[in-house]
Amino acid sequence: MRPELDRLKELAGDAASQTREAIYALRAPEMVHEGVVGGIRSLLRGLKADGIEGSLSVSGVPGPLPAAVEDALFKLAQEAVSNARKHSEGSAVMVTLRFATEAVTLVVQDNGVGLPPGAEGGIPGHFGLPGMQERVAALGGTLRLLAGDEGGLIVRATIPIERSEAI
Amino acid sequence: MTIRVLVVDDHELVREGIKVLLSQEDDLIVVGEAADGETALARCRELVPDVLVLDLKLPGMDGLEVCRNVHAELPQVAVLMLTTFDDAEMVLAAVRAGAKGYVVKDVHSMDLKRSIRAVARGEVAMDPKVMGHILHQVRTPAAEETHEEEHKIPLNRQQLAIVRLVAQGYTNREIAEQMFLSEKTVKGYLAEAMRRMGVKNRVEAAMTASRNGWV
Repeated sequence: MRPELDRLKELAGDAASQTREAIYALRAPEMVHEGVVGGIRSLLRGLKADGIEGSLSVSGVPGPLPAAVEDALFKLAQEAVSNARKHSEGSAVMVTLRFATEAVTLVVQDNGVGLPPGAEGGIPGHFGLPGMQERVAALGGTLRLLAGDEGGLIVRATIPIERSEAI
Repeated sequence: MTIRVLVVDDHELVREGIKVLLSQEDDLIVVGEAADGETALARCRELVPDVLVLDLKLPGMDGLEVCRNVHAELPQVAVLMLTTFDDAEMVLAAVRAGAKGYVVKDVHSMDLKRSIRAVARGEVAMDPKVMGHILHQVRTPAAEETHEEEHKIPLNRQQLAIVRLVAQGYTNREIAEQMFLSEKTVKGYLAEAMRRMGVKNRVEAAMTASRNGWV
């Protein structure tokens, strides 16, 4: 009985991870060809129409990232950039992506009005960031919302990466 | 003389497209193809092509890793990177890995053929678009060292260090901790940096620094 149970458990585990991979494979169209860097670039290009200046700074060498990490980074950037566009009333959004050996860090900062006091956890109905917090935490990472010293909001996420489990 | 080409890209359409393009030329022949890094390396060892047209982003072993291995094991094989990335960092990483050429995927078909022939002759082939990035990147570290260039960055070393941390999304308090300074000192240095850069807030400071290649 025992070996059969173990085998079933293993199969169920495989099925779950394959399903996860299949879901992550349904990527945002912006990312399909250019990865997270290209995806963010196209997000920032979209800001121009609203008179907001967008800028991306990439440092380190973007190696192959697990699909789940790349996906989370893009979704997070999308959420943060869209919040900045809708709510910040600022004129500039800067995204920084830093690829280090053990982690990748994404920063989205704007020069707008910032979060209302005490709202660092997110505002219901306005900020989809609590959901992002869960997503980042599920990957073993951290997400922080910080108030910029001259106003504005800083969204900073660090996600650990294990290069060996590349895509 | 015929130039033997191995085409590596994880997208079949891209490989097919390149094969069709090159089949129009008498002096270029595609001798093999691969869709992932490990296969690419195996095919390279087996076929020893003149030119390896290599996608940067591959499943499994990525293009850079393949390039490093080929460069080390089969230095006679010229690697031409074909990619969607035109970041200076990526280009430099490819050059360091031993690539002889770097073209972006929206390259004109004529230019791809020209690049293949160039690297086969032992020349370097760089997409004009990425060349600008490289020159910029190469100039930037030197700009911090040489006295003459220093005047172009209106910040002193401490201000520059602070602006770099600002670009990484750190608050004044966090920067103060990292640099063993008081928060007030950081605030003062940053205010002076922003004044010198002619910007009003940290995001603009980070953007200006990034655009000028200071961070």
